[in-house]
Amino acid sequence: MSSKIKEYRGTEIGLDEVKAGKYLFTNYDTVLRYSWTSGVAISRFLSGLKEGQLWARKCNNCGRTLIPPRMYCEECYRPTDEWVRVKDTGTVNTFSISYVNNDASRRKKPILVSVIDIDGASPGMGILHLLGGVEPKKVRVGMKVKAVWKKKSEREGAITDIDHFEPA
Amino acid sequence: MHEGVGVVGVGYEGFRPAITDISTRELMFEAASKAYADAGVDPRKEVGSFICCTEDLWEGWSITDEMVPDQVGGARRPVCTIPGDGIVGIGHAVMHIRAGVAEVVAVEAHSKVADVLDKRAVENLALDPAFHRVAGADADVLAGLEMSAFMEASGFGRDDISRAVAFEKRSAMRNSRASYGGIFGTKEVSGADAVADPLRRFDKSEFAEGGVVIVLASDAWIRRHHAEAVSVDGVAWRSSTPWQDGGEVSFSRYARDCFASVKKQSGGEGFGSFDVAEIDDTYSYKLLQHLLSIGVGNEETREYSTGKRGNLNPSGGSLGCGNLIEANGLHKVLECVLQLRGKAGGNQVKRARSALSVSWRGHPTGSGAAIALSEGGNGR
Repeated sequence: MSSKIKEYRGTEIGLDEVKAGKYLFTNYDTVLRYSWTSGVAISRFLSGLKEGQLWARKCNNCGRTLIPPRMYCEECYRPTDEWVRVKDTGTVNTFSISYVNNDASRRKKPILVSVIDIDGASPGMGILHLLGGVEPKKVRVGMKVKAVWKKKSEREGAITDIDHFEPA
Repeated sequence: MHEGVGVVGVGYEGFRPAITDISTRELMFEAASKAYADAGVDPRKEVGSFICCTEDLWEGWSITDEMVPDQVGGARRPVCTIPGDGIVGIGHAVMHIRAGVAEVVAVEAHSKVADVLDKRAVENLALDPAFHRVAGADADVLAGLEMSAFMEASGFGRDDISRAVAFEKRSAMRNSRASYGGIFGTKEVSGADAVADPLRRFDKSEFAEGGVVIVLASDAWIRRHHAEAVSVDGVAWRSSTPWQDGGEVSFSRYARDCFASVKKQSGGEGFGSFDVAEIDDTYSYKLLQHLLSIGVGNEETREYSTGKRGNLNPSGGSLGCGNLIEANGLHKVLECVLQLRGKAGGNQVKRARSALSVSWRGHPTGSGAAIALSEGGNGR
């Protein structure tokens, strides 16, 4: 509320009145479930994660190595040419110290969300993941990091097969 | 005088009940790559506008338009997404060309509907929450209600509709893009399991997956590049009041008005002046309703819908090829362009020089679109 406006005209609706049914609402609950086809590129990427490997695609026209991989180069608009295994190390491109969960609830202990440029991929090619094993105050853009993989028996072919990245 | 616009390239991929080997983005890339190769254009340099026809809830992504540029060649280029049928996308492409926004425009639409596990839930979200989401009143029930009223108002009986279904299914047997062709007798169609009586199993088109890209260009571009083109003689789209909200059941106002508009734009005559037509048949009775709505008489409708007159839905329509949701319109345009090029394969119509497509966006909408096409024309 503005400092000049002390009070808005109108009738405040309280939660108790809503719960009591004083005001009418139209409510509807639904469930929407999807099972997206991973396709050629992402399937290989996810399979690699299960094996503790990171796979990228290379475009021989522009020379870029793309991760996450795709079967086409959006710059050259042509199919990418070959699979390239890249390292599971990289550099912090950017990070955020997040105090909110996905449902917008507050966290007492923050999570460190980062975009990590993967070594062996082209500049600016990276994946979004979590940082761990480091105090929030000590995280820096440009910091070298490496993947901390889950145990092989726990991997399921998902980006979460990497538990987090930690300082190299 | 408006500048003419022509279709200079078409590409497609899929047309199967479920595409399990490639992702949505890879499907779009495959269809678009073929369309650009067909048109002989480099999308990174020569396509000035990209239009994708897609709906977030069918994709399972919010703000889907942010996810489409790369795979259609539109990275850092003018891209827009419209939540509507593909023919509406062509309408926007024509406007872009005539307004000078672009000389060449790509229009994309696709269906990856097998990825949607709760299709019924998505359809139900289109229903008015205050009035229509009562128990059991889903899209098929609305179709059953409309079909019942249509039959009463039009005088078309169960067997009339079943004969049309059998004809469509039979036509689809000659189309490599059709997944739901078959040889059925009228009795078999009429006696199929009821979905929402009188709507029965074969009255409803089954879902299918596929992607279609159409490349359009201005007449000036076509002349400069000596390109072969199919002329867009008229395009229109309308949204009318859905019948359950007070619209009319016995005919489709959107189809009537769209057809009247494209007829005026193209300087054409009645439905019979088109050599080939691909008319929406998402549900069997809608095919007949659409024909009646655009001025075809009852007896002529019976003849068209059973192959005794003209060339109606030689592709097999949606009943034969499947329901491609937002790509239904572009599928019809694709079939018409292939017909006009003489490259429609086993269901090629002889001497096809003009074509008409009419699409509908499905229940509960009263939205449809139409496009008139012809070989060459516009000085080419």
